Amino acid sequence: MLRNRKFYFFVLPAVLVIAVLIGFPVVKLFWLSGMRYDLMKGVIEPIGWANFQRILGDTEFLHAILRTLLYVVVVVTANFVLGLTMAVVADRPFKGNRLFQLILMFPMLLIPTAAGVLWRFMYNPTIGPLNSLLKALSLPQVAWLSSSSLAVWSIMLVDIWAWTPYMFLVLYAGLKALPQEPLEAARIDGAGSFKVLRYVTLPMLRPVVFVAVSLKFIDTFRVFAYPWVLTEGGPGGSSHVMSTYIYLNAFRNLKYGLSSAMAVVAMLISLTFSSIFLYFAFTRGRGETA
Amino acid sequence: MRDTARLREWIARLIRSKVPLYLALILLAVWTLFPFYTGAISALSTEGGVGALWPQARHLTTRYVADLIRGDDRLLPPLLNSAVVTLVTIAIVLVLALPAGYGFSRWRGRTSRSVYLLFFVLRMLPPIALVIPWFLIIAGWDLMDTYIGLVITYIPFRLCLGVWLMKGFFDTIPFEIEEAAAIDGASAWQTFTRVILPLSRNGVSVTIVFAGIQSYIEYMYAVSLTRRVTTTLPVFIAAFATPWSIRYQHMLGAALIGTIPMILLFLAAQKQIVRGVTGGMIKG
Repeated sequence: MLRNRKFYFFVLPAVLVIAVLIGFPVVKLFWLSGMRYDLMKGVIEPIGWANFQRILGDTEFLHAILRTLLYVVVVVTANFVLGLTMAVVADRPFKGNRLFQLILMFPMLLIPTAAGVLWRFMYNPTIGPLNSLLKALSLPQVAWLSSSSLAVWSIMLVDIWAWTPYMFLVLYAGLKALPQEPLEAARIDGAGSFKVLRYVTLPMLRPVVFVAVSLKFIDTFRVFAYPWVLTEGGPGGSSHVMSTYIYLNAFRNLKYGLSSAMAVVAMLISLTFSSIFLYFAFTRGRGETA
Repeated sequence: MRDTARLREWIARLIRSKVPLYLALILLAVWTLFPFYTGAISALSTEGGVGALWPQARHLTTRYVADLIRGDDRLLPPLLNSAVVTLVTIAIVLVLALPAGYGFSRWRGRTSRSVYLLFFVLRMLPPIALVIPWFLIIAGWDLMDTYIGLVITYIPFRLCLGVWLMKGFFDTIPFEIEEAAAIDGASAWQTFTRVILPLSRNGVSVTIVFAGIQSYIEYMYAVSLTRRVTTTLPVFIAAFATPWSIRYQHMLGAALIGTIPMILLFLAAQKQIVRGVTGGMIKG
C-alpha cells in the first residue's frame, strides 16, 4: 500500500483543480439558492427555503422535469432502435459500404446549434422543406413548432436525427468485435436473421449496449441547445425541458436565486441517475463492463 | 389457391433477395441527408429560392456564402475564437489528465477509488447546474467576454472526462513495463515521463478528440459568458435566428461551413472516436 502512495502526487494537481473549479461554483450555487437575488431592484438578501417552497408550487417546473424524462426515454429508445437498424444494415456486404457508413455519421458531426437552426428552417410552416414536401404529396400541412402539443415531439425528432449515428457507431463497433462462431452455429441450426439478432447477437452485445444506452441517457438528460434554438421553450412554455426552463428563469427573467434553487434540484436528479448507473456498472455489471 | 401460394413464394423470394437491403439503404440515406441537401440549396439561393426542394438556376447565388467569408458577417473571427478556446482547453486538460489518469490507474487503494468515483459522478453533472454561479463569478472577476473566462468554465467537465478516458487507457498498459524500469532505479515520475508517456499516443489522441469536440460545440456557457469579442462558432450560428427575424441563407451557410472542421476531424480520427464513445470497451 505504502508503495502505492507515490501516485498521490500524480492525481493531486487534477484533484485540486476540480476541487476549486467545481467546488467553488457548487458552494456559490447553494448560497444563491437561499437568496433573493434581484439585480433590477438592487436587492440581495437571504430568504432561507423560500425559493424551494416556490418551486414546489411551480407546476411549470414540474412539467419541465417530467417532459425531460419523457424526452430522454423517447429519444434514447428511438436512437437505439434506429441505430441498431443502421448497424445491422451496414454490417451486410454491399458496394459503397464505407461511403454509406460515412454518410450515416454526418448528423452527429453538426454543431448542436447548427443542427438546431437547420431544423428550424426545415420546420418553417411556410417556406420549410418539410411542409413543401407534404404539399407536393398532397398531404395536410403540419405546425411543427407552433403547435403546443407537437413542438416537443418535433424537438425530439431533431435529437433523434442528430444522435442516432452515435448509437450506430457504438453498436456497429460492437457487432464487428463479436466472435463469429456462435452466429454461424445459430444460422446452421436454421435460425432466421431476425432470430439470430434477437437471441444471439443482442445478448452478446449486452455490455456494450448497457454502457452506450446509459451514457446516452445521461447525455440526453442535459439537452439544452436543440429546444433553446428551436423554440426557446415555446409556444406558451409547452416545450420547456429542465435546462431551458432554468436558463429562462436565470438569464431572461433574471431570477438568479430562484433559478439556482431549480438548478440544485436538477443536480440532485442527475446525481440520482448517475448513482443508479454506477451501482449497476460497478456491482451487477462487474467484469462485463470493465 | 394457387395464386396465393405463388404470391407467398414471390414474397419469400423478395425478402431473401437484396431488395429489402437496398430499400433500407435508400431510406436511411434520405433520412440522414435530406436536411443537409435542402439546407445547402437554400444557403445558395436568393430570397425567392429559400426552402425549394430542387435547386433553381435563376435563384442560385453565392452572395451569402461570400458574405460569411469576407463580407459583413465574417465567420472567421468566431471560428478562430472557437479554435483558441478549444486548443487552450485541450492543452490544460492534457497536462492535468495525463498524470492523474496514470495515478488513478496505478494507485490501487480505497482513497484512490473513491476520488476517482467522484470524478466519474461529476462528469455526469448537467451543465445547467453550474452555469448560474459561473455567470456571476465570471462577471464578478471581470472576465466576461474573455478567453480566460470561458476556458476556466470549460476545464472541469472536460478534465473529468479526460481523467476517465486516460485511466481507462493506462489500465491497458501492463505493470511489467514499469517494474523493469523500477529495477533499473528510475523514480515513479521518470518512469511516467520516459516509459509510459511515449506509449500513450492512442490514449492522448482519444482525449484530444473528445475534449476538443466538447469544447468546439459547447453552447450554453459560450452564449452566457461571451458578448461580442470572444463569441464562439455555435453562438455565432444561433445568433442568425432572433425572435424577430431569421436570416436563413447566412444561418444555413454558417451551420454547414462550421461542420467542415468536425468532418475533417472525424476522417482523421475515426478509430479514436470509436474507442472513445465505447469508453475503451472496444479496441478499434
